[in-house]
Amino acid sequence: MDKATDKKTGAVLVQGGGIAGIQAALDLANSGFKVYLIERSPAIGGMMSHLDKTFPTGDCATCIVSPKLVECARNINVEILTLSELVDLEGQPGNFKATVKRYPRYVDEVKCTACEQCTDACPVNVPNHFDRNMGTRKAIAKYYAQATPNIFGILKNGHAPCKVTCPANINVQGYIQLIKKKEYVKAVNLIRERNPLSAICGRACNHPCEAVCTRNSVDSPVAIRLLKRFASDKEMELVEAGLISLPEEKTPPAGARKVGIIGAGPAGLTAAAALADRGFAVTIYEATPAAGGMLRWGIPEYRLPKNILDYEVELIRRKGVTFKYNCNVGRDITLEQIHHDNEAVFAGVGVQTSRKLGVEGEDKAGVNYGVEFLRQAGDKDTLPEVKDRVIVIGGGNVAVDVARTALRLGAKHVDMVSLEQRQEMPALPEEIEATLEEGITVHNGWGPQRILGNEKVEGIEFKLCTSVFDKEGRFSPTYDTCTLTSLKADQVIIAIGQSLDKGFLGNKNVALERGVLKADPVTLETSVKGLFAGGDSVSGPASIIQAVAAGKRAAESIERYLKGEDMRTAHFSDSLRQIPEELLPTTKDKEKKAKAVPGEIAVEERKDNFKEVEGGFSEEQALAECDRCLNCAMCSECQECVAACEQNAIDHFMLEKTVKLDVGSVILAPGFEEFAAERKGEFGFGRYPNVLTSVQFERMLSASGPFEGHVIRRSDGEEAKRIAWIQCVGSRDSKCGNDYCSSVCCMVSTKQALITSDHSPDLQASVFYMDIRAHGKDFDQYYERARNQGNINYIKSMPSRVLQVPESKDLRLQYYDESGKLAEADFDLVVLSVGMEPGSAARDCAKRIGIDLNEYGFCATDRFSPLSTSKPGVFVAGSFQEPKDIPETVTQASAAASMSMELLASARNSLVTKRVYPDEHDVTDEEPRIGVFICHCGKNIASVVDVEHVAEIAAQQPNVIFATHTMYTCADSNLNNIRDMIHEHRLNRIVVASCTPRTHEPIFRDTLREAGLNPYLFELANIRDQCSWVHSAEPEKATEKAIELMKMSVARSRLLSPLVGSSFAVNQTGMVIGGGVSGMTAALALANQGFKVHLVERSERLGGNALDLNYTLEHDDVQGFVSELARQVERHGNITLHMGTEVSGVAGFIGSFEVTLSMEGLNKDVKCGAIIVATGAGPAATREFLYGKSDRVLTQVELEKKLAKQALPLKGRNIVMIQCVGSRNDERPYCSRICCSMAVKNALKIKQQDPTANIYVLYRDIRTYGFREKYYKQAREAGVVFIRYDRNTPPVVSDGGILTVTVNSPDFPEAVEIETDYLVLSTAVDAPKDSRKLADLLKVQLNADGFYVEAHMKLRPVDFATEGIFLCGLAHSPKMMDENISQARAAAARAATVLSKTQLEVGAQVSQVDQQKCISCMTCTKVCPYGAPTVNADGKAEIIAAKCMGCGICAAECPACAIQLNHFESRQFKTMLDELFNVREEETTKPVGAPQ
Amino acid sequence: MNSNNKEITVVAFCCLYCAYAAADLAGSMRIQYPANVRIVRTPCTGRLEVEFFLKAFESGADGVLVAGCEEGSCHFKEGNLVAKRRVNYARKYLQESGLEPERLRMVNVSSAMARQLTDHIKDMVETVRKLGPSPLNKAKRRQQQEIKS
Repeated sequence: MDKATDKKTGAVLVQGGGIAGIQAALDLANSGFKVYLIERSPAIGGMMSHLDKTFPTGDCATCIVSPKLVECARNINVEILTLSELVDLEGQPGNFKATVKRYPRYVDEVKCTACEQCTDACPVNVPNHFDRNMGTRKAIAKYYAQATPNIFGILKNGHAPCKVTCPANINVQGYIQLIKKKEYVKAVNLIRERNPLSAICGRACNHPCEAVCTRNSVDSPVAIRLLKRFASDKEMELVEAGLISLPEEKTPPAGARKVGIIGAGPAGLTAAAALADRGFAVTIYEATPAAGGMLRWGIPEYRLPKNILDYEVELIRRKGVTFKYNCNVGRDITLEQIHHDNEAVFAGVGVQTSRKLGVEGEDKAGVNYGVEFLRQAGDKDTLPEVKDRVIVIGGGNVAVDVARTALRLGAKHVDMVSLEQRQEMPALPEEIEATLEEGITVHNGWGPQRILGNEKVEGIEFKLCTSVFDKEGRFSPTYDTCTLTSLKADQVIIAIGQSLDKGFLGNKNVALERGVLKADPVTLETSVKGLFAGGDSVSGPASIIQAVAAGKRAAESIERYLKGEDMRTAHFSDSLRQIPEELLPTTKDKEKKAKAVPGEIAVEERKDNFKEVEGGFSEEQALAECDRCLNCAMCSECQECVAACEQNAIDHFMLEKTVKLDVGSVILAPGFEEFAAERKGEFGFGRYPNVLTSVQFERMLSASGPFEGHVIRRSDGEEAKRIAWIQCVGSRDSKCGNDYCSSVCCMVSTKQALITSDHSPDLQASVFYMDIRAHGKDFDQYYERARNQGNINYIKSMPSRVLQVPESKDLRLQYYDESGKLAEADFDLVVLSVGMEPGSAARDCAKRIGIDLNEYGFCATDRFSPLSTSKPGVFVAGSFQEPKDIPETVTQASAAASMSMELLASARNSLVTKRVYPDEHDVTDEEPRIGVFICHCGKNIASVVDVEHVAEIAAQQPNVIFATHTMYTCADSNLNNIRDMIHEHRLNRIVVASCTPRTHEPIFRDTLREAGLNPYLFELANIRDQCSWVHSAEPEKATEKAIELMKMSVARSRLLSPLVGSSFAVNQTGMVIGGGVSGMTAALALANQGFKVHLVERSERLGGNALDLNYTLEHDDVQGFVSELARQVERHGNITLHMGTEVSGVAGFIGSFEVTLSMEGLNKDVKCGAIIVATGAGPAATREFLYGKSDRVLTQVELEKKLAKQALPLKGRNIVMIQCVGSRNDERPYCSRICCSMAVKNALKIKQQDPTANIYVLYRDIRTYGFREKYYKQAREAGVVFIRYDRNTPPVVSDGGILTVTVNSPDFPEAVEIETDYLVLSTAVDAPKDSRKLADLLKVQLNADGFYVEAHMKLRPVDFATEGIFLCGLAHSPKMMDENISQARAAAARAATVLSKTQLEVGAQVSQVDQQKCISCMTCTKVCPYGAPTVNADGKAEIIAAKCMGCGICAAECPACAIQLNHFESRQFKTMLDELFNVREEETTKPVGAPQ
Repeated sequence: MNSNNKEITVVAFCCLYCAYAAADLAGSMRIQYPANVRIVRTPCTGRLEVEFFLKAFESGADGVLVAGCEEGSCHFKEGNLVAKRRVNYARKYLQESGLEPERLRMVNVSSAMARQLTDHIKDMVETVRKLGPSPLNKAKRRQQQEIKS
């Protein structure tokens, strides 16, 4: 191995936390490298965690992946960074600097104890993406039940349109969600954070929020204003009922800095409230005798009752605000004086002076102005005079208010005249509606020309208004003065707008602009330092909510001004980020629900009085209305989770972060995204509820999914009995640019059909397919099982579209059957078997860091180096390289890890850490001294189980020295407490009663070790997951159960013994058996990492099967590759070649094998720590189809040799190829995987050499999976004829001088007869007949077909069940060259996890034999699945700890009871049973009761 | 109180990899089931000795449920099959001793099958309720009462 000249970084960044990333991370961390595992989602697990079962073994995906997740989380050298993404990569192989973006989780990963209380408190339900939007989740939740890391997170995607549009940016969604929870007071408090005038705005706001409500695209907006009113009214009701009291009266803190506010209108009140809340001493100077400004003097009582206004003013006063009434600035006090008395001043004086019309006759008696009229009407003592016939001029809200007020004050007839057309009127539509209802006539499109009459008003003459606004939308009316009309009137009230009364300014020189105060739009500071202004006096007449917003903004500025901070730093309103359009909730699938309509008083009852016209919502209406909110922003920021989290772990203001990591190499394993089924619109996905994607169906099947495993029609919840699967949705489809095959979908559908069928035997399944691609190990047998079951129908077809039958919601599938005829069938469900695509995030990441992508956007690689990207030092694994199944993904992950290991071999062990613990305190001779900790888990346990009582009982148990109950036992401070108690009370056993040992035992065990106790002296009682959570309605019984569980654990803890694992020296040499491409690759992968390797080859030549191959499907030169490989092997200093040698004996175990090698009868023993089996397979011999009888019949390999030499005359010749010769039959039920591609390869070669040759390929299913599909397409385009045949009617070959092939194809009405020049047979891949010998020596398994059996089909594809022995290549199953290379590297990586260690640790939880008791019956050696028990020199059984997996089968089986499984000893089980039933008879000291 | 209404106790031996995990998931999903069951965890159902089942009945259990991985999916390859054999053996033994074999049952669930596990538990409790408290249990109670009086 080359000595590294420059120092490399012994860390690897793995992007993608799916099964590939996890496997790569574990292999690297377990062989001496630091790993950063980067995952975009909130938890690792990837697609596998979504799956129900895996094929072909039917393993539960959760069962097999969960232990991997836990292993990853526990590995101290794997740092998991979730919600993270690699954004940049600088440097060179061996020394990269990676930039990683970390998105906020809004939950502190360290503080979160996963108690779930936040989720319980969260009112927001949003579609659950994990379940592919079937069902909902809370905005704060765990990603999925088994999520690792076990931490919660909040979904946010920006700020909702309602919030962003509201000038005051009230958290609309938040308060709606709180109302939904009936948290009315909290809802109002949330509103008041941004707007102290909640009840007022609930009545009088012009609600621009509703115009932008996303619900508009479904039906009509959520009634936001009325919900605000509802919550506010509820609060007032509670106050009136004495159920809550008004807030205490506050006074400003001593030394508070003073702020003066001019005007107690909405802007001034808001600013005052905000500043008082921030601890300032606020004085409001108000010219009139009461607060409210326009709210009091402008809005009539029938719209805004005065008691509502008074109530909210009182709340503001109680904050410590001083009101100075009847204090007219400019008359009673000068602005200078106020500015002198206060450090800052806010002017919210509004606009009080009515604009004049400026027409002839305006000075006549009987002409009044709107604002003045309303002001007088607002005070009983100054009611204005109202005549019989009143004309109101104006089209805004003030005009409407004036008209309706005039009516109420006794006018007999009221006309409103506005310039604008009805739809242009600035008044709110509902207000105009109410006006008309009350009998007021509205005349649109007329402008006053002159006021008629002598002294007194008698009428008005109007001119026709032709347009009100110019092209830019500015107010610029034009008239037709030739068209005139007139109305009679006794009184005219002009309400066309107001202007600023500048009187308050006095001598102060404050800049004005267009007649109003000039203020900086960001800070609201005027030209005078320290004088701020906002509301109508700056903007001109506007809405209440705009005034509130100005008050709020001014308060923010004033605080900054007084604290000397930068006033231009983004104000709250400027920091909001509207949700991007594409992230808004989809509205097309939402059910229409009518907006609630509040009650109102009938016209007759209201016309002559000032009773409030509009009623509020009933509670029922309000709650229904809340349900209409679509929760656009996901998290509503209602803060309920903050209140619920007792760990203070939630931070809604968490920001995105960027971290830089030093790594030596990078592995990309970002996985795939499923094809977006909406793109195939003809299948109705997204429109018909009963059309699902295969991923959705997977969630439907999952017992932990949204339907708990029930297969139902989503339209009506009925069980689905007729299900269709449509294959190749988004695969093998040029129309959507995906010419490749996604490789797994055929098996996924087969699995789904089989599993559904297990659940409901009367299922009728139909799989609509092109070719069934069951090319994996044991897949074809699985497929045949499905086919032969009777209720699963495979239909070779081209589906054309899916329609929904309107009444029944059945789905009608139209398709072209195998004869090309259009047919149709009805189904309950249609499952679209969606293909794999590279995710956009993965592609973007690759592009950013300079990785080439292939034509489909997957990572570009070549067949001889499938793991290398275009950038040295960056490797790829899994479906981002090519669509593939789990085992190939896991294989590639290990293989990519081996690439990194090779690159960074010199830096191995340089960055890994090992936890150091204090020496263990010896407890062997001590009496048990037990400490018991009962956990509340917040409210999770304590709200059901009387934890204090459990702790009391615990304290009374024998040997219990200390017992307590704690809020969160796993929180850091409490772990420290456990350590302290161990020392203080000299505890030597610890029992915790809390959650599940599956997640928390490692944490507590670690605490024991830190306190110097052996970790096996710990015991956990599961009183949450298996008690309080599942018996929440029965607190007494739950408490009783918790006590019993605790007692059982205490009893067990007395019998716990300290356990120490052993360790032994590892022989760091590897052995590879087999010198083909796989064996050589594996040997080199190890040798390049610096390990010595013995390569054992039976023949005299390296190369194996590859020696017979010349080119790949992609035209690569196989011979060049193989000879280069052999050259490297032969010259490598770390590789010892044993040619012409066989293995004749194997002894020992992982880390310490002794292998006997035989060469020409001579034996030698070789020691090694790990063994890789790469013994290969070969072509099956055949006698079919005249092979061996006619020299014109040859195999594909023979054809390839001839083609390579260009030794075959092809011109105009007919060539027939027959597929599946010897495969997929009774003798070999498996698919040989490589033959379809080989036939396509050779057919293309022939066409390339001579296009006039005619080629016919007789096939059963063409299995050119993955990117090989492209070549199948090329072959068809080149004129190669593919003719399907059925297994039961194979082709018939006759040779009557002319070689004739006859085939009955289901696709043709009659038999096809082809006279052929050459007949080429695609023969099977056959396992060597003598594999059994080596399998027996190694004590590993062969399957029925003679291939070696891996430890686990999905997750341990290159391991044998026997530790320390690995496999790769054709010995495992037939596969392609690139797959063999990946597998060989994977086997090397797995072997490196052993060879990289000098010492191997053996777990302590292993079986032990009591030599005295052993009767030498050797039952244990027969029952152990791992071969751990052996016979020692004394003839007694002995367990090899390194081989023992700790299942305890032997211990249970031993007839002499001589074997015990450590930590699960028989006596430990029995004492629990004893304790459980003794408990019943004892009297507990106090009656068991529910907690408070 | 009718003896059939007496609270009964079922001991459930659950393997850590599947059934115990399913019981935890039932917790996460808040699936409610009778509080009569006491779960004892075991690394593998293959660890369970026939004697444990008998011991449970002898101590006072009214029913014993053994819950392991689905067949073919045992984390330790075939521990659940070994357990099945032992449970069947113990059932015969119970019958010979005059105790209803229905009081002992083995079920197979994967770690995702929370609902199925709780259904099994409910069914077991129901079955045992119908059978009534174990006669061994009654005898023990009487015995202890005699000692006390």
